[in-house]
Amino acid sequence: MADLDMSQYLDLFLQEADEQLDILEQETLKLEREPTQERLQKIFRAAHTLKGSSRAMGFLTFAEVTHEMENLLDLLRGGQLEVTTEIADALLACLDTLSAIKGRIADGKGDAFEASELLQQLRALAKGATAEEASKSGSSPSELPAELVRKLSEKAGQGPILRASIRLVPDCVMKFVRAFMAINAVNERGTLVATHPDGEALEEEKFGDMFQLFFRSDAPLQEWEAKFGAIGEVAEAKVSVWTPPANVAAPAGAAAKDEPAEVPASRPAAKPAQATGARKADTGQTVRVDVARLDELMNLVGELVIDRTRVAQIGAVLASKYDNEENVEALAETVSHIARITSDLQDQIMKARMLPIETVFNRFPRMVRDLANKVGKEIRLELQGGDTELDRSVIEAIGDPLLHILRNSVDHGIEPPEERLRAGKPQTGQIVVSARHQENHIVIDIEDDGRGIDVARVRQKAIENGLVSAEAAERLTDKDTLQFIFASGLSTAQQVSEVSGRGVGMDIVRSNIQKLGGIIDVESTPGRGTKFSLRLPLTLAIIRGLLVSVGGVVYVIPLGSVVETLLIHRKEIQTVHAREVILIRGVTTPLVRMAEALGMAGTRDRRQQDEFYVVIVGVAEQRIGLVVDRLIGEQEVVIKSLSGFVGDVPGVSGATILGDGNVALIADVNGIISCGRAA
Amino acid sequence: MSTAPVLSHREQNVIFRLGDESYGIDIFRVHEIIRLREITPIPGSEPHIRGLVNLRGKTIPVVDLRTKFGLPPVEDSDSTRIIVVESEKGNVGIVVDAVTEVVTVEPDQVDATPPLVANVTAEFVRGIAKQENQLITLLNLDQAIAA
Repeated sequence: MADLDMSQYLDLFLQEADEQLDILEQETLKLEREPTQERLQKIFRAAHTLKGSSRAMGFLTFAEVTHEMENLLDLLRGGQLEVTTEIADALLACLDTLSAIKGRIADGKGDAFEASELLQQLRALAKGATAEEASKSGSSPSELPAELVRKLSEKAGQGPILRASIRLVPDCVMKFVRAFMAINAVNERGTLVATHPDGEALEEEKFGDMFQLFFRSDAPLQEWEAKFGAIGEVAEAKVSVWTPPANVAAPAGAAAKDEPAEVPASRPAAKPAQATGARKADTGQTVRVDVARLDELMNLVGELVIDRTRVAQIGAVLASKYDNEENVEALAETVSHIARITSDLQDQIMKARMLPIETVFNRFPRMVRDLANKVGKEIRLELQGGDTELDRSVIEAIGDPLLHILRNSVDHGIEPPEERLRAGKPQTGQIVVSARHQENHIVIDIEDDGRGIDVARVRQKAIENGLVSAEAAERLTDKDTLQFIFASGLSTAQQVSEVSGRGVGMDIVRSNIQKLGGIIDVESTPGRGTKFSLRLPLTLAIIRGLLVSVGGVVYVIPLGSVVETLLIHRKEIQTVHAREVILIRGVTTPLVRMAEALGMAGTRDRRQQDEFYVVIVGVAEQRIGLVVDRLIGEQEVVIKSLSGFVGDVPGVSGATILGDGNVALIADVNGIISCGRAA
Repeated sequence: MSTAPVLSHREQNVIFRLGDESYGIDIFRVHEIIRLREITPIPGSEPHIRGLVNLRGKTIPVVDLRTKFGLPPVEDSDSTRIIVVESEKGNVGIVVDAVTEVVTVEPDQVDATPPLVANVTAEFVRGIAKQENQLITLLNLDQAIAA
C-alpha cells in the first residue's frame, strides 16, 4: 500500500519535474537574451517548486542542485550578479543534471548522481558575487537594512527591544534549525519582534553564520545569553538593548499599528500550500488524462466511424428495397443524425489529442544555442506559430526530422560571422521556423538566410554517386537537382563535421516524413538562403483515402498523395528504357502496375486489356501513375496497424475496415514505387 | 530426450482436425472460435499468412496451418473454423478444417517423444496424447504460428 502511494506521488513528481524543467529551460534561454525581473521571478519560482517537491519525495541530490540554483537566482534577482553567458551555461548545466537525475529516478535507479562539481561551480559563482558585493558596499553583517531599522524604531516607542546577535559555528549544517530553536526560546519567555535576516531568508538558510533576533522580554540579558549559548552549534550569543539610531525618528502615529512579527516557524507549512493553490487556479479548468485513455477513446470512435458507414449503407439498401415504408425514412433521418454526432465526437476527440507544436519547438532554442556556440556562429532563432495544434502522434514523429533539418541549417546553412560580413549580410544569421494550418494539413517551414545550397555541387555529387548520368543531369532544372539532397549517401558538405555532413540524414528525414503521409520540399537561392517546407496531415489515426481494387484486394491510397485519376487506352502507353510511361499534358509520367509490383500471381495477362485506370500519385516532386483494376470511391478510413505478427509487408502500411465489414489494405505509395522499380 | 513429463498437470485442450489428424491446443490460449469469414489476403506477406479478418472492429491476421504444415490445400467447407488464439504479438486466427471437442488430457496419457507424425515437423509438437479412440497431437502453438 505504501509502495503504491509512493509510486503515485512519483508519477506526479516526474510530471511536475518535466513541466518545471521545461519552463526553466525556456525562460533561461530567454533570460540570456533579455534579462527581466519578471523572468527571473518565474525561473526562481520553478526552481523553488522543484526544490520543494524533490525534498518531499526525498530526492536529496535533486533538491541540493535546485537549492544552489535558487541561491544563484536570488543573487541575480537582487542585482548582485548579472546574467552572463557563464551563468546561463551554469543554469543550463543544472537543468541537464536535473533531467539526468530525473531520468534515473524514472528508471527506478534513485537520485544518486555525481553533481559535486556542478554544485561547486554554482557555489563559486554565488560566492564571487557575495564577495564582490561585500567589498563594494563595505557593509558589516551587523548593519541592518533601513526598512528593518524603521520598523524597529516604531516598535521601540512601545517599550525596550532586546537584540540578540547569535553566531553559529562556521560549518553548521542545520542553520535554520538552530535559528528556529533560538526563535522558540524567545517565544517561550518573550515576544519576537523581528529577525535579521527576515524569516524567509532564515528558512532558506540565506545567511552567513550570523543572525539577529529582536524581541521584548523582562528577563535579564545574561539569562538570555546563557539560553542562546545552550543551543547546539551556537558559537557566541550577545544580547543587548537595542537603541534606534539617532537619524531615524519614529514617525508619528505609526506606532499604533502593531504588525505581527515574522515568525518563520508558523509560515513554511502555510506558504507552499498557498502558492500551489494560486497556481492551480491559474491553469483553469483542466484535467490530466492518461494518453493511453485518449488512444483508447480514439480507437472506439474509429470503430464507431466504421459502423456509421456500415449503417448508412444498410439504410441505403433498405431504402431501395422498401421504397414507401415510413420507418425507412425515419431510419434515414436517424442514420444521418448519428452520422453527424459521430463526426462531432470524432472532431472533439481529435481536438483533445491535439497539442500545440510548441512542445516540439521548445526543444530548438537550446539546441541551436549550444550548436551555434560550438561551431562559432551567431544565430538568432525565431519560432512562429507555436500555438498551431496537431495530433500528438504526429508531434511525436516530427521532432527528430525537424531537429535534423535545423542542425543542417546551423551547421551548413548559416555562414560564420566573418564570411557573412564579407558577403554584406548582418553578422548574426537568422533561422525562422514557422508552423501554420492549411486545409487539413500543417505546414512547417524552416528558412535560413545562409549561403544556400550549391546546386552545381549537388549535381556533381549526384553524378559521382551514380544517381544520374552526366547528360541527364545537365538537362535537370535546378529545382529537380535539389531533390538529390534527399538521396541516400549524398552530402554537399566539404568537410564532415561532428554535427552533420555524413550524407546520412536528409534521406532519413524524407522517408520519415513520407511515412507520416507528408511531403518535404526544398528551395534554395545561392547566397540568400534555404527553405525547407514540410506538409503533414493533422492526424495519423483517420485519413481520407481513394479506394481501388487490385487483383481482388481493396487498397486505400491516402488522398494526400493522390493527384488525379485517369482512364487511359492501351495505345497511350509508351516505353522508355523498357519502362512504361504515359504523357500527361506533355509530361512524361512513369507507370507502375500495382498488381505486378506487389507480386500478385497471374496478373501479367491483364496487360491485354484495352483500357486501364491510372491513379496519379505525387511523391515529393515526382509524379507516378499507378495502374489499378478499378476505382471504388473516396472514403474516410481508420488506420489500423498491421499486426506485428504479419511483419513488414512491402507496399502496405496498414489496414482498415470498410463499411461492408471487410478489411482493406492501406497502400504505402513509396513502397509500391520501390517495388515497381525493383521488378 | 528429456524424461520430464510434457504436462505437469491435467490440461484441457481444444481439439481440431486437419485432414485425418486431430490436434490439441491448450484451452487457455484460445480466445474464441469463429466461423470462416471473408479473409483479405495481404499480397507480399509470408505464404502461411492467409490474410486479415475483421473481428468486431479489430483486424487480426489469420494463419493457414495447412500451408504451415505443408499439407495440401482443401476447399473451405461449412465446418471450416477460425480459432482465435492469444500470442505475444496480439490475437491471431488459425484456419482449421473443423473443431471437434474439448478433452481433458492427463499428464500420464502424454508421450513425450513424438512417433513419426506423417506431416508435422517435430518442432511444432509438444507430445502425443493417447485417448481411448484417438491420438491427439498436442501443438506447440507459438512454434506452429511463428513465421
